Amino acid sequence: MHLVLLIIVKETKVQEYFGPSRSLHAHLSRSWRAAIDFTCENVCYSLRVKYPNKWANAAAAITHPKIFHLCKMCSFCGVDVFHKAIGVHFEFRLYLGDISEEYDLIQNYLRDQERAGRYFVDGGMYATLSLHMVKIILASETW
Amino acid sequence: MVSQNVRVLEFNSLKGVISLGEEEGGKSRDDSDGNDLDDDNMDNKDTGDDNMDTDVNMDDEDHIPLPDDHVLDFVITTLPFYLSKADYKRELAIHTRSLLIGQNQDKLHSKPLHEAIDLYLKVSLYFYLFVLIDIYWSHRRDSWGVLSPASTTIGSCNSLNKGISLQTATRIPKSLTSLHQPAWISGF
Repeated sequence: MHLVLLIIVKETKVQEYFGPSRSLHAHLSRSWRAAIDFTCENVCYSLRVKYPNKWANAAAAITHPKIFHLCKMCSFCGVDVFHKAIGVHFEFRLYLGDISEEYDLIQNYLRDQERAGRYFVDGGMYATLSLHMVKIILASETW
Repeated sequence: MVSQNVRVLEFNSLKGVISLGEEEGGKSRDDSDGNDLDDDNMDNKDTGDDNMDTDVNMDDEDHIPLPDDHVLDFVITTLPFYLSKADYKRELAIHTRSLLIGQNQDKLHSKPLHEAIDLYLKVSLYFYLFVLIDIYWSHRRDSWGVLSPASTTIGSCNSLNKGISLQTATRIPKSLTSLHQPAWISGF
């Protein structure tokens, strides 16, 4: 009787800890996902705190699939293109490593409305960003 | 291995947050919409928010940087993607059209950008047409909705049928509904 009670208690504890699926893999992937969400939210939060008006433009610009390669190529030449175009300092290599797959993490986060919440990049933000960029092209001398 | 990855990621994010804070001498916090920013993780980060005015002033929305070649290349290569996902905005449509019908069109050697602008203008034109159609139909529906109680009271004997114009459709029911008003409404 005592042993059965003990087993039941332990089982409920395991269920509390690992969830209904009771698998270590599911638990780890869930916590991994939570950590990614937490990290991306921190990045977006600090962007928004530092640049109250431009954070939306920066967040929309980050979702471009090749933005990291473009910015890296220019940063090798000593030019911070992202800062010049959008006005936001964003160190790409600091957040995420050199593996290009890891770049997808923050882009997936920004395009997922359930996970990103108020940092979700919608069509209106894209419209604002492209208006900003069109103005840049119109302001250039060669135009 | 996964937990190690988590630790590396958290460390990287911490480094990023710190570098964002220290890059231009401290952080700023906008108190204008402080309700949105009231979070649990607020306590970890608001260490220095005294020099808020300088950063906000640097953050002008209207400030357009004078572009050099690098910035122009960057903008021209990335703009098609953003245009393909942008909502309809009247100002943006006007500006992109002026970009497309510009004088120095030959200097813009970017076929994707031309195609993206073309597509955006077409889609926005269709969107505009759909909005017009929607406004028209909602107007018609409203006018028929006003009409329906009057036509039920009168019956289908008169000419309130398909061929009615909008003016008469809006004019007739008002006079009819004023007849059906109870006395205590007109008493006020």
